Order: sequence, then structure tokens, then C-alpha cells
Amino acid sequence: MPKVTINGNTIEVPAGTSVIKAAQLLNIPIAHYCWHEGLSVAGACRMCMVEVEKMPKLQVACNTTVTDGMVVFTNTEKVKTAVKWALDFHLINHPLDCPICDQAGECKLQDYYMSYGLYTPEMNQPKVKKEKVVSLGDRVVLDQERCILCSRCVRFTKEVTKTHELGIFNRGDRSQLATFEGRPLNNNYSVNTVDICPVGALTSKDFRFKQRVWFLKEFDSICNGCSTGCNVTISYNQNGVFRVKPRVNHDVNGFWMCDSGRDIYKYTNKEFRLTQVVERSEKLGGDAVRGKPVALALQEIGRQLSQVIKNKGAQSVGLVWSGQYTNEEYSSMGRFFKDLGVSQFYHWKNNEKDFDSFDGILKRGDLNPNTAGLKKELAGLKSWADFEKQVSPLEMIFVMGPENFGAYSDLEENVKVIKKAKEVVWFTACESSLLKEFKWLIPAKSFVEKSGTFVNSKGLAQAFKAGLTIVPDAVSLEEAVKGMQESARMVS
Amino acid sequence: MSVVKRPSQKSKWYIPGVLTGLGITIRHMFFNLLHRKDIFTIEYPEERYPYSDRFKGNHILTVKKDGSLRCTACMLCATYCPAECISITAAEHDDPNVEKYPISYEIDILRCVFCGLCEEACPVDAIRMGPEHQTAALAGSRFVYDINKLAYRPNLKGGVLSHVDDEERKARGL
Amino acid sequence: MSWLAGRLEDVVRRLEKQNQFSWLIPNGCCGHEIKNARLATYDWERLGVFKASHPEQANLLIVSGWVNSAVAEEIKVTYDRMIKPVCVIAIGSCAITGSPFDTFDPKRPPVTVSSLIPVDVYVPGCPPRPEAILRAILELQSKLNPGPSHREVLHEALRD
Repeated sequence: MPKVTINGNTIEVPAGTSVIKAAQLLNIPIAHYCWHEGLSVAGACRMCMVEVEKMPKLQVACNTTVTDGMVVFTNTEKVKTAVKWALDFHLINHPLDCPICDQAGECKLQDYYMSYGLYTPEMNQPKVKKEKVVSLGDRVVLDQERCILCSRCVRFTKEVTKTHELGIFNRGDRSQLATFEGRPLNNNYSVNTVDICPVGALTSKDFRFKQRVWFLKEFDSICNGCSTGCNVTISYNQNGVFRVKPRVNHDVNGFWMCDSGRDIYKYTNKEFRLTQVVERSEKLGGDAVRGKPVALALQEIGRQLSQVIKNKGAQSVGLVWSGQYTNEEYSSMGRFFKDLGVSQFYHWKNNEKDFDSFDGILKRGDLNPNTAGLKKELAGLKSWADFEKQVSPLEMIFVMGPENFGAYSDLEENVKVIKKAKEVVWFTACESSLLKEFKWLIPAKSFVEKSGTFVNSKGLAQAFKAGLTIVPDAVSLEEAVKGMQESARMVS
Repeated sequence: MSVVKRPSQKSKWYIPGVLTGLGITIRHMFFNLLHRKDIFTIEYPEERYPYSDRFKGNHILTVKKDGSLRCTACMLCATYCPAECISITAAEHDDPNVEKYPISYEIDILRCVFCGLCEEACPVDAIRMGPEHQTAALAGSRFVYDINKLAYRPNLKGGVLSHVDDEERKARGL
Repeated sequence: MSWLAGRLEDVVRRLEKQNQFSWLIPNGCCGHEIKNARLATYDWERLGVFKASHPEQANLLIVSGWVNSAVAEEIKVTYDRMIKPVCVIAIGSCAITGSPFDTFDPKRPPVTVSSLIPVDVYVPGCPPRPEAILRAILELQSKLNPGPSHREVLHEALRD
């Protein structure tokens, strides 16, 4: 295993590692635009220049393989001047767009200018004008003037999604990024190009102009869009959640995430959420009453539950589970009901047809993050078909409803089936007009507000922590159990 | 050795002190009665005090030549404001030369400390601190100034032109 | 005799409406601007605002400066001592919203004058110009006595 010394720090790396990867392992920053760990090496930007002992000229760190005994310097005057001039050349035709560019605050040009630049530009020729605000597809917008032609996005569409939509056309300083004729950038991984673009050339239509990056805070979480369980970073501030970006995890998702996962934050924001307890009962006149304190509502539900069990027996209570809750919630809720003698647990599978499909890169057909955890924690789950047969004699049903309504396209039909039971308590994070006929609607916490574990389709358990509170009255299922168990045990 | 002059015994007598003080007041009174024009009281609201050019009063959002707002919603002013009183919502403009513009620009004038940091931070001379003093108003009036009030209020006579004009810059090829 | 008393009462009430007797709590930097508004350069006695000897005699309370616990107590005690109805003017951003000293920290919401006593006129500024304080008094007076005031009529007459 060759040993390399960078700025005096030595590390032993596997053969074939490039200098820039070795520097990354040592936490030494080297300025780069076109190198990306998940893509092939291009060597186009010429920013990662390093001085290697005994080599007369500077070398690019991304394409130089480490040899045993190599000594590399990244902080000599020669290197700093080279990086400054490479940056200067990149900025020659770059438009003065910082006020309107979304990348301000996380732009590599800005960052490297502050560390290596701080010069007065000596260029006095007019800049080359290209097209701005070019729509590349459903989700991505291109600004050709801002592009520094690092070709990260071109290599992404060539190697990762293998759809070959992007290319660099023309030569010299007239080069521009564009899509091939008749091939808009519409694959299911297009927004990853926005993440890897080091400047503001590619921007996401969804996040465009919504918020400045320095107003956002970030925390780590797991995507709840499908059973792959990609690791993500959620960006939020006091106005809500704004975007979702992938995190690196070589066991699960590598460097990328799919576009359907980018929409999961929409169901967590206040506009979609159920913010208060909704109760409908005949003695209140049949109309919905909102705003009861959650603790009181849970106590009443517990009391009603124990009444039903005392009068009609435990077999008249049923539970419908969707795979969108954490392991801890399943085990606490399951144990609570098993102690009371209830054993009718039904699994709500939202898409039977393509449940086991896989698109080859990341997205799976099972659009629930924790089906595997559900099956593990609760033994004896019956299917939806059994539920349809057995629903009518049931007195009370508890539904652990889905959070991500986009994944549950069969919501409307299933609601009709569930209505056949007499009393329904529905735990849901999102509000919908379809749910307005049920007895109790309890606001549940979305996945960004609770801590727990999701088990992905390969059996890997991934823990995540709560990041923020959007609806203060929302409860996780564990808290719901705590609220119900006092009154449920009292009567029986 | 220092000689400290302490107030003399005489100043502790009551009548001479009172008479001297009263004398000054009565002299001022007769002076004001006879020389009405030399009184330095500024009779607001009929007379006004001339402010300097750099006076930091109510904000003005400047406009471009065609009357639209100069502001590009870059949010530097909102970031720099120490009182966190500026709220901006950006939106996409149809003209690709003017990509970004604010659909709502609000300053909570009750929080504003009139420091002028927003004027300093703006890269395109979109906001200025104007020459009107901070206006008082009854409780219940609108104290959150929106774009209409900041850019197009009647005092401004249709809008103040900005000094930073993008057309020249674009014509020169920058 | 009672007719005379009634007429006297009318006169007093009319005078009361036109003149304010102010009690100041000039806490903070805005206190200097209140002093400027009171003294010779911008005289608020021209507008009819006199100094009250103690709060029971006052019908105008002027508050300024950042409200901490000591000042909050003073404001509440003074307001309770005053004979209602009382007009209140809050001067400066610290008194009105707590301003940069209390930027949005959800754990510590700012203490403002309007959370302690009902406020009639707000004067934004840091500190507001004395003209702004005079403008506040003019607004208050035009709310209490609608129509042109005696002073305006006099100035109109004198101008011609």
C-alpha cells in the first residue's frame, strides 16, 4: 500500500488512489470543481493543482495516482498563484449574477475567491453572452453564462443514469452546455445535477428563489419516499422545510437520490398538515369540532377503547398499519394493543402491483420507508384483502395513516372501505378532505419531527433524530400510547 | 500644592442667588419679546429644520427607468439588518434579463432602528434612507411598510431613479 | 350658582382637551430627544403640552427606552396612579418592539410597552427626531379635537 505525505501528514492508501482522494482522507482541502468521487475523472477545471516533489511542473491532484513515497504540497506560493489564475480564467466570462443566483452562499466560485482570490480583475474585454433561464426539463433550469464547463452533469447523465441527455457543444469560449435535440432532462434523477453543479448554472425549479441558503439550517435524516431509505439532509428554518439533499452513504444510496424523494418535504410543511385534533360525533351534532387538546382527546379515546373491549370483546377492535412509522412506534403501539388482547392487525399495502419493483439505480416500488420494520415488530399481520372481508363487524378501528399522501394513490378507495367500521380513529400527519368523515383525526408527527429507526428493504436499520417542530400539537405513536394507556387500563 | 476655590459663603445666601437667576430669565423674556425674529425655536410644523443630504429617514426603494423596482431580491439587506425588520419574498420575472424581483418587500418600521446598514449592504442602490423624518402615527395604522409605501408614496413623485443602471453595464458587456 | 359652576366646568373641560399635562418616563437614549422636544429648539409648550407635578395630575404619559424589569414596574405603577382617561405615547423602537436587543428569540419574547399599558401613538425611530415627537403630539391632538387647532388658525392669519 503506497504511502503519501501531503503537507507533512502521511497516510497509507490503497493502490490506485488519486492524490485528491488521499487529501480528502487527510481532511486537507484542495480547490476543485470537476472532480467528484462518484464520477469519472475529467481534469477539466485545472484548479486542483498541487506541487509534487521532484516534478518540475504542477500536477492536477485528481488525475495523479499516488506512488509510494510521494511528497505533495498544497500550500506553497506556486500552488496558490496557480489556483488564483485558474480561478481568474473561470471568472472571465462569468456574469455578475450573485444577487439573483440561488447558489450564493454555497457557491464554490465565491468560496475559492475568498480563500485564493481577492484580486482586482484585469480583464477589459466584453463578456461572451449566452442564453439565460433555459428550461432543461420538468425540474431543472440552466443558465449557460454561469456554467464553468466542468462537465460534472454530463458525466452524471452518461455514467450514473446512462441516459446521455446533456452535452457540451461548440468550442473555445463559445462552449455551452445544452441537452441533445429531442431529449429533455426528464429522468428520475435529474435534480442530482443541481446538487453536483458547483456554480449556479443548474438550479432546481422547485427551490428556485424560495430562500437564501444562509437562512437555512440543516440536519440529517432518512428519506421516507420508498424502502431504499436514502440518507438525506433536510434544510429548514422557522418558516418550514425547504429542500432535501442527499448525503453520502456507500451502503445505501451512494451519492445520489431520486427526484420523487425531493418532494417528501412538501408533506411536512404546515400547509399540508393536520394541526389540531378533529372530532366528529353525533352528540355534538355531526359537525367536526377542532382544537381539543391532544392529551384530553387521547384520554377519551382510551376510555372509549376500554368500553368497547369490555362490552364487545377484544376482537371488535382492529388496527390498520401503513409502513410509514418508525420501529419504536410500532413496537410500543403493538405492545399496548396486544396487552389489551387485540390481535386484528392489518397491513395497508399501497401498491400491490409494483411493490417489489426496482428501477435499477435507487427507487423501489414499495413507497413506504419501514415495511420491513413493520413486519419484524408486529407478527401476525393480515393483509388488506382480509381487512375488506372482516371490516363490517368491527366496532373500533385505529388507522396509522400514511404521511406521504403522494405515495398512496389508493387513498380514496380505501377510505370507503374503512368507513364501514363504526368508529375510526385515524392518526395522520397530513390533512385531506377525504378524511373528514371519521370520528377522530389525531395529528401525527412527520418524520422530521420524531426520532426513530427505519429498516430498509435490505434489512439495514437506520436511526435518525428529530430536527424541528412544525406542528406543536402533533404526537408520535409512542406519545399517543402514553396518552391512552392510563384511561384504557382504568375501566378494565 | 493646589489652591482649590471653594464656593464662598456668600453664594449660600438665598436672595442674591434667586435674584441673579430670575434676572437672567427676565432678560431673556424681554429680549424674546422685542426681537421676535432672533428666537431660535423652530416652529414645527410650519418651519422645518434643514437636514443634511445623508440624513437617515424613512426608506425609499428606487426604481429603474421604466418604473419597476430596482431591487433584485438578493436579501443582503434582510441579512444585514440588525433588527431583522425586512421581509422579502422573491419571484421569477418573465424577462430573462430581470430574472429575479421581489413580489413583496416589507419593512416593519416599528422594529427598524434607522441604522442605514441596509443602504450600505445593497449592491444595486435599490434602497436608500430618505430625507423624511420618521413619521409618528396613531396605534392602529399600518406600521409594516410595503412596496407601495416604500417606492411609490406621493412624496416621491412617481419614484426615485436608481444610480445603478443595468443597461449601461450590459451594453458595455459586463 | 350651579349654572355658573356648569359653565366653569365647560370651560375647564374645553381647556383640558386642548392642553395636555404630560408625565414623562424618559428612560434610555430617546430621553435625550424628549428633552430636546421639550426645550427651546422644538418647544412642545407651543402645542399645549405642560408639565404635570405628579402623575395624578397628568393626562399624557410619554414612555421611551428599553423596558427592563425596573422600568416595567415604574410604568405600571405610574399608569395605575394616573386618573383615566390617559393618552400614552411610546417613543423609539426599544419601547415599541424591543428592537435589536430582543431580536426574535422564541425563548425570550421582548417586553414592550404595549404589553404593559395600552398605547395610543407610536413614534418609530432610533431615536426619533424631535419633530417626530411633535408630530405624535399633533396627531394625538387632532384625534382629541378634530378640526384645525387654534394654533393653525393663528398661523394662517399671521402669514397673510
